[in-house]
Amino acid sequence: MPIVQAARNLISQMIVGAHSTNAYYGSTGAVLWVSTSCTAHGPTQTHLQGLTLTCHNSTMESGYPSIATNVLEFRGILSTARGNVDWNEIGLTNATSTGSGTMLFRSVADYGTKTCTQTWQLTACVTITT
Amino acid sequence: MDSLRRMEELGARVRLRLHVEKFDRSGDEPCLVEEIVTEEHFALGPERADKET
Repeated sequence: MPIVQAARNLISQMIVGAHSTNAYYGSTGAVLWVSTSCTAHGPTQTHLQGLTLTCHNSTMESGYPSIATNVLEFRGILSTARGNVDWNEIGLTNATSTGSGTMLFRSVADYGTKTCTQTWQLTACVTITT
Repeated sequence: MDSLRRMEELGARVRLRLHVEKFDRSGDEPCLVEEIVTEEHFALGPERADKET
């Protein structure tokens, strides 16, 4: 299950305005991450589980994140020079450093191995339903 | 945490859909070579989840 406890707590803080003002996952805050670890999701994880050297990130493409009522879309692009590792985990945080920010979700699946001749576009669509 | 408990009581759920599009850049134009989509459904509480890949 992708959501983690730190994100759960941050969402709760945001509802009542108790969060840091730089905690938003907006166009300048949201960062998509990929890395190599197949470690199962754990609710206390705070970042991807691959070694820092294998973590690659992308800030938001122009126009992202988008929101349509209850549907959020985050999009990043890993160009030929970035993310050339086994893609086994994907996460979204609000910081460009592995040592800061809050990871909103971490999802573990085999997406294949990216090479330097490829560009991969990653879109995360989050729908909150009742 | 009262607001979180309230959302759980309301049964709020989240669907996460990840879409990876792979483009080959070795030629003159980018060429889409593969798409992978995964989807997970989970409640806002950390204990329940259903996963589809």
